[in-house]
Amino acid sequence: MFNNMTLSDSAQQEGGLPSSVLFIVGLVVATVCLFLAMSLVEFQPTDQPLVTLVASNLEQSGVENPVTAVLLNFRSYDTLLEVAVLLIVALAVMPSGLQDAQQPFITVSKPRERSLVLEAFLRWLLPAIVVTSGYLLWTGASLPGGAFQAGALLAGAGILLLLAGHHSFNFNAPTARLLLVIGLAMFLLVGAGVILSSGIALAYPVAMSGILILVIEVAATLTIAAVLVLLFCALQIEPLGPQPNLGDKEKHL
Amino acid sequence: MPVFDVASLLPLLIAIPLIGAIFSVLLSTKHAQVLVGLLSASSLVCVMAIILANLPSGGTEFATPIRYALAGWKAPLGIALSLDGFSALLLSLTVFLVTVLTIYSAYYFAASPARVRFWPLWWLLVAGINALFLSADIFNVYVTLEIIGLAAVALVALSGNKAGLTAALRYLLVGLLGSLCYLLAVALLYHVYGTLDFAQLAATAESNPLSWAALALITVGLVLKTALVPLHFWLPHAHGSAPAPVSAILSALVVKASFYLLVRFWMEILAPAVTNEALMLLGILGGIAILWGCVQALRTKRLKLMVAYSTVAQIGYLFLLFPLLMSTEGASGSQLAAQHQSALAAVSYFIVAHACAKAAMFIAAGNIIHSLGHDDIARLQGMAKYMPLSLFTFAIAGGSLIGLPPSAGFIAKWLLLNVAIDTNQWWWVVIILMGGLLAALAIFRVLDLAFIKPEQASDYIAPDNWQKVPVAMPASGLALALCTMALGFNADLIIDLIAIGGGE
Repeated sequence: MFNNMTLSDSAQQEGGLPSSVLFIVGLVVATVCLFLAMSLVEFQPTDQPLVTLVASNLEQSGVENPVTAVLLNFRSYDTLLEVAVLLIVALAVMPSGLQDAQQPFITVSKPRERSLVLEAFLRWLLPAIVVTSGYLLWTGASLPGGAFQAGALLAGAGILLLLAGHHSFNFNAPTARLLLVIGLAMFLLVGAGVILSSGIALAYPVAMSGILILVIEVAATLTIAAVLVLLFCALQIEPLGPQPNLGDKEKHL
Repeated sequence: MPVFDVASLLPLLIAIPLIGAIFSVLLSTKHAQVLVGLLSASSLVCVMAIILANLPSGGTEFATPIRYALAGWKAPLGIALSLDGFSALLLSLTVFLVTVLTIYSAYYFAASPARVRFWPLWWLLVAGINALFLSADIFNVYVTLEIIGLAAVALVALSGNKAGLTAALRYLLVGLLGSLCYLLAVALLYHVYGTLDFAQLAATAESNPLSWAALALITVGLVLKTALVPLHFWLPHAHGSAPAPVSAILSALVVKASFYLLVRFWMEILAPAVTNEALMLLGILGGIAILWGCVQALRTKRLKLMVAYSTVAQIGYLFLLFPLLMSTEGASGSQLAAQHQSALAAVSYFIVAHACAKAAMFIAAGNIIHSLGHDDIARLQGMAKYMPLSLFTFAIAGGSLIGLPPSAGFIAKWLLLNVAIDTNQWWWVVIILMGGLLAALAIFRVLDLAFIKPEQASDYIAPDNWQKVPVAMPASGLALALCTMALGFNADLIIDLIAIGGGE
């Protein structure tokens, strides 16, 4: 959406502030920082009750990694809203226009120029990335890892695929739309579904919590990967590979 | 535990708009999106009506807010939703305005390709606003601020022209700066008190340098988002160049959301860290905002920009709440509580009155742009003949903004004046009255041109790209404008609601 605002446009607006104003602003910021630092140094840190609270409730959370427990059980509501933030970002950068809504999500075509090294390399790399991403997702239950890391890795695979030039993604396709909302939809579905057993939204039954968290994380991984690839597609100004005129249209708008 | 609990309905207020957003992404045909919108809006209205009907009526034994612990974890570990009189009022206002604006948007975006993106973003924004008013956790509030900020920016950018995109990008940067200030304060508060819950913080907060720093950072961040003078520079352009329903919700609700948080922090959560001087400072800025906003509204040449500058002025009135909270030496605790209660009631009334009037005004301005293709005030001469309903809406809403009886704006200013006189701060009376006069000048400048002056130059008659708007568009604006009148006769409804759960 912001593609047509080039850097030169915004540069000509900024005439630059006079140096006296800059000096005063700098002085004020420095004073505030100094005050903050002073008051932080003076403050005697107390023990953090929440750390022990998390540790003592970890057994009932369904996972062993305290970070995952906080993100997807104790404070799962925050994560739910953050998945909604991702959806907003996706909507903000989505290519506009309805005409390509009927096109398939992935189209395969011959690239203008082939990069043989990248192609050969990707044959090995892509499966490995997908497997590693799955491992990161799985291991999030007990070790550092989880949906965000796995999704980022998966998105990396998607971007490499785009760079090779054989494939292009159309994010207005129904499949792509499904991928963008599945994280939020699954989170809401699970959060509402558990009301049947526990009576409280988002409160997983203890026996099932591990598997429910995994289900949410798998869906979130897909959404995160899709949003990141979409961001990459939206930020490119020159069309990659054989993409006919989608990028061009954006520029002229 | 009773079978039916009002608290268990609270998550629905957030879930319904989120579900609406999901379906508007999946079903991208025009009728499906409108249908999803109407269904979501009507179910929100039902849920809110049930909640309001089951709210304990204002009595001493129900002085605690309704709480709902999400995920079953109690406060320091989990996140709670909470509802008291103040948030119930703002939620009802949100649900009401969103319903009217949803109907309006169905017509406004009927022929525009922007609707594909508008509907999901719209429902995500509503989810964010509802989540903010329900939240009882300072970090969760940060997430809701992000939802509101990002969705609002994306909605402003929907206008697609260069002015709109520039305004949206500036709005994004300002919003991020505000959010970061707030986040820094959250980190400080967690470091000092070890909890993120509103009630627990309020119970343990004390007056120390770190609390002051946190309160200052929160205030700077949220004042930036609320657009109080001198940090209002982004507002006129963002609100002035967005599509009409977006401008309406931005002015009516989004700036109120950050103001609501300021009230929560200054009156409840960090109340011990508040000093009289700081309260006075916010009040003075509010006073400057009233005068500055009105003067700018008088000077601007575009109708929508004028309405946006009037928002700057109206935000100034909201900030007059703070000096009215100042404690005097001889006052007892109960006297102070009563003073706080009446000041809060006056300002809440102001919020409701301004939200309805401003939404009606932006709808009227949107209709004028829709049918004339411009909003140049000078070229509106004699246009009342062509768009009587829209300009009539503009006149009624303007009357409420000026504070003419019997509108809600009049009652709001009356309540505010009363509190100002009770607390012996007569100088606010002067500013409030001057603000009313200046607002009247700005509004009558438009009305005079549109209604009274005859069309003189021939090229103003029947503009070439003249389009008739569907009657539902001016009608929804008129409904909102008439609401400001109806509220003027039913002031006690709102004042009673505020008393529930003690806005204290």
